[in-house]
Amino acid sequence: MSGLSYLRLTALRTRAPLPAVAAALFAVAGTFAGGRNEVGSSWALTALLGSGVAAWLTVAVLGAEPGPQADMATVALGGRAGRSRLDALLVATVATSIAALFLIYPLVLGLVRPHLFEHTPDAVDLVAAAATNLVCCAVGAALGVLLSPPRITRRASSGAATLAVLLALLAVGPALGAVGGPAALANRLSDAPAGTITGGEVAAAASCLVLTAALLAGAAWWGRRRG
Amino acid sequence: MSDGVLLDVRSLDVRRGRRTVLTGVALALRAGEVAHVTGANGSGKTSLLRAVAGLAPAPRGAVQRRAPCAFVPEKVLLAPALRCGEWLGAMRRLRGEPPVDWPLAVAAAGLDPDVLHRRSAALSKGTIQRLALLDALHASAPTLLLDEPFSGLDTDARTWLATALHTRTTTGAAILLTDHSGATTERLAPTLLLRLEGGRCVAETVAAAGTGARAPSPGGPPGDARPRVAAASVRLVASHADGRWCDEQVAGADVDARLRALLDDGWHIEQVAP
Repeated sequence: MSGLSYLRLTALRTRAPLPAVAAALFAVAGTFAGGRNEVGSSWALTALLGSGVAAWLTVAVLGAEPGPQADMATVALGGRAGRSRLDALLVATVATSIAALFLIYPLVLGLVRPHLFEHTPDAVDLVAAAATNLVCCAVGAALGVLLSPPRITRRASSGAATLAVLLALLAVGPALGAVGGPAALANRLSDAPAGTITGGEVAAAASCLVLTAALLAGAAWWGRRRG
Repeated sequence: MSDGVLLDVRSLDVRRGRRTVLTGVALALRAGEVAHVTGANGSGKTSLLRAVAGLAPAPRGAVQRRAPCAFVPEKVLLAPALRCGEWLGAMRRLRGEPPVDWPLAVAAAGLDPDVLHRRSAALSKGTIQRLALLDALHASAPTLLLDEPFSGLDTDARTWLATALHTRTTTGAAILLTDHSGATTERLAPTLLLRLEGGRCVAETVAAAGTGARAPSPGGPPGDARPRVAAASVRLVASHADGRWCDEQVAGADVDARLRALLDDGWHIEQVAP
């Protein structure tokens, strides 16, 4: 956790993550601005938006740390392996934070706006929404790690590469079936009947977890190669 | 670690970008030793240090870091909005080490403790470098990897750094450093010289520090020489966890023994100055 507090310190002082945080708030507020929202579709949309916001936030946090400062911290963490563990922790934290925001905000808003959803979400709906938002945000955050320093050191290149890969994932995802990553999972959540979790959703969520692990492994490998 | 080797480098190739700049580097660094890496610009000194620190890829060979390391790059750069005291505290937590009385440590290093509350953008290059060195010197990591630590420092700061590094070696640290300024040879007689020439690394053991007598020993174990700082008498300042302070003048020849005695009794060395 000390690694996270170190990253949080740099992020807070530089205020680099503020635009991404603002985007997350805007995304959730915009999604639930109207009334009688369809439960699955609304949370499918936040999951897709979440993957982008998580990538942006991660790139912002890691990009706020100048190279020499990052080098000293990496050695203090015990080398690249320690840094990779911190990256994984960052992915988990970013994904959990954004997914929690996207899940809790409409539930709290629903207390003062009774017809926010077309039907009241039950426990199964909430589990499906939480899992979908969590794993989609994890994919985005892991992608952010992969395309951040020391792998890609120029901030503009990092942002452009992240956006390009995310758009490619969203474009080709549905065509790949259940293993299509965030887009496939969001489609399945949106199409699933209320109060159920389908096998397709479970398979798509599992594929997102595998994709997250692959992105983190790729980031660790690239980090060792890049130096 | 029974042989006392803290850093064991074998047949290491070092790359910078896509180019291999050094091949077959061999090095064994023991507790209490100082290895000085020399070579022309572009010979691979920084790349070697980064490879040894685990920051740069090594296409061939092995680096065994048998104890934690602390690394200070040549150009220290912190996030401009970061307050230095916060950064020092965060680095301690990263290493899982207890807090340090940084105002006291900074004052002992000859800096105004006020620098701890200032943003790094408001500090000079030399001040930030001294703070980074202070972090490494206070880390319990016994292996220090320092890239041009004397460059950019004024005379007083160089004296402070030389004595502080000397103190660390007397307490069992091993130091691998690059230095173009000549301060290492003048102030901190190294035990081992590593000359980088033509893509190779030639290791020389300094038989007796300051005498200039050297016995070639490529990659082999260094001799018994220990780095030392020439000083008639030295001021020792130390603090104890129970609140006691020690401030005494010690003859140069007795410094090592006195330092060991203080450390054995649980004292924390705050300052060693000529």
